Amino acid sequence: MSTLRSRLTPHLLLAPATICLVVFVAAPLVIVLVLAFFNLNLVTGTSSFVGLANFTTEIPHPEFARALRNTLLYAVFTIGPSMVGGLLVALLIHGLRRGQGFWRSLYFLPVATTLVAMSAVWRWMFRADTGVVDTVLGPLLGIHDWLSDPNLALAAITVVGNWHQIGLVAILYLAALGTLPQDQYDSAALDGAGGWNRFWHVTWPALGPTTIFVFIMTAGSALQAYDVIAAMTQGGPLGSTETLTFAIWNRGVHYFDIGRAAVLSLALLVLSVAVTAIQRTGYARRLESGGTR
Amino acid sequence: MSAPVHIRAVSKSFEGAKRQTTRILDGVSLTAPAGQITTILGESGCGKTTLLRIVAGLETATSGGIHIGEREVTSVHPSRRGVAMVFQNYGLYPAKTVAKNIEFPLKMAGVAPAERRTRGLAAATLLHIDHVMDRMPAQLSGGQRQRVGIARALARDPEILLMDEPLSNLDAQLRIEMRAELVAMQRRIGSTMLYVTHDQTEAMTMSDRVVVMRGGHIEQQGTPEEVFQVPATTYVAAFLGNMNLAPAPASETGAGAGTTLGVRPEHFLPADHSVPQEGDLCIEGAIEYAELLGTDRILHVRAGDTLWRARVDAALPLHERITVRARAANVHRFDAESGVRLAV
Repeated sequence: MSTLRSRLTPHLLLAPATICLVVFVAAPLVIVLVLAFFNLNLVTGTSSFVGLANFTTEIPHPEFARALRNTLLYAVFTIGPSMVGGLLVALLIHGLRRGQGFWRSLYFLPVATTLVAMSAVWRWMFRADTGVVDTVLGPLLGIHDWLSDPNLALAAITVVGNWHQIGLVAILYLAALGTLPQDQYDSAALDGAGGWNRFWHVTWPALGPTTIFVFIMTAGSALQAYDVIAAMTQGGPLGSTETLTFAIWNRGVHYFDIGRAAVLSLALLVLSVAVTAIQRTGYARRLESGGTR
Repeated sequence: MSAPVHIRAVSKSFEGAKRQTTRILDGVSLTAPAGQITTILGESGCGKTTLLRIVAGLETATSGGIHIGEREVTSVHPSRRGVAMVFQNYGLYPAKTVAKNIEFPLKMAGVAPAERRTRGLAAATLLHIDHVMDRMPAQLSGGQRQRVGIARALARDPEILLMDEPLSNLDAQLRIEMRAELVAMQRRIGSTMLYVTHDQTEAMTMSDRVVVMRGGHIEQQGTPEEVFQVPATTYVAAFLGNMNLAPAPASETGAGAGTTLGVRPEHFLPADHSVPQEGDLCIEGAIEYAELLGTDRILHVRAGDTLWRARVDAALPLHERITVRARAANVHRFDAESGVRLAV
């Protein structure tokens, strides 16, 4: 009896976490995987097994390649710039003698606001001819009406994505900068390391774990970008801002095509797994362990 | 290759909260002779580490100057002073291997890779860590880490070696070993060493010169023998060797009012086992407590208001009361108010 009890106890203790994982992670994953092989009619409530039909119609469809391309473009142009920008902002604020609190709050404001509401403001700023962007940048760059131009709409979305993300990245880096070990900077000063070498040999390795964390965070939100697009362009013009998440919503909720939405979801899953895999590779691994003393 | 370090009237103040200035160093002047070990000894907060950091160039003095040899270096960048420093917390680069840590100052100085490797390996061999060159600092023991710190300091052939409590984080046995090893190493390379510590044993055993600091100024400096045998103040007397200090008893001849007497515990002789001489200081009192140290015993003897510590042979039979005497030559006299030694 007691052996049965001692065997059960750990399972009972793990049960709450296990149930949450199953209900919110494993089950949806399995459901999406299953749905991808079915044709589900939401009106009649009937469903039929269609094999790989959803895959063979969705993957060659231009929508798929376009959504994939837009997602990757959006990811590349938000992850990189917001990480570099956030780090620069953090380094600048960290170097200030006074007013750190003010600048920290200022850069964090976009993170604290509701992105949908702010996207509305941005849409107004990007408005053709009368918007701030067109009146200021129009004469300088010779381009205008970003949101109606299939070549510029994604760039506009990316600007807003970066604007929103940089504050968060800066706060995370600032927190890490506050805990850097002073003794290494003393060594570096005596060893003759100047500004760049101090950053490259002391600060950057010590920030390694934060960099990995920031990458995972920004990559996660870049791959799942939805609210800015929904509020600013609805995926348009001509699908030029339709990312995978937006396409999933379009397919599944707009066209009631659950099967093909499931295929798109699986594509997003594969992409997320690939990003996670990057974190386990050589340099990222070294970065992650860089801060160990 | 070595040069003396001259510290000339260095003061340092920090502006704290509410515009209050805290004076850390108050006109400190000293010379660390070339090729010798000079120890700066003091309690924490006495300004010894700040002084060392000013010599290194990691802090700037509010006033005063630093000269290395003939060169005035007060406002020279740390890396161009010809000094190297070893830190209490090692200050290693955690993301670099031992070899890269040691070679880093050479790399920054633009030394060619092949020569870097040779010189790095030479420094590592001197400190017996040439077998861990490919490991990361996190994989080393505390003692090995400090050896890496010292090897990195040596790699550049510095004229001046600054050590900021390098042995404080090591365990007792290792500290004793490293003490002897550091002295042997300094003798071999012959550079000038400034060594900061709060440990009087380190100061006594390793130094050519000892500088005792207290509250931002120098209390006394000299050879370890001088400082120990002729302490300039009651503070030095108590800090080094834990001297008994007590107001002179009225019966004591030759000492006026306002005199503090100082006797080292080991200079007390049991009265029953010694011949009285003229000028002896005799203490008669009750034994309150006895600490056995092995071959010796420390007796706490209560005489009037004063508790004296006397170090006697452990074999001495103990009674409730005891009389001990100290020879006149071993009785130090200090001014009770200022604590300064009185000339005999």
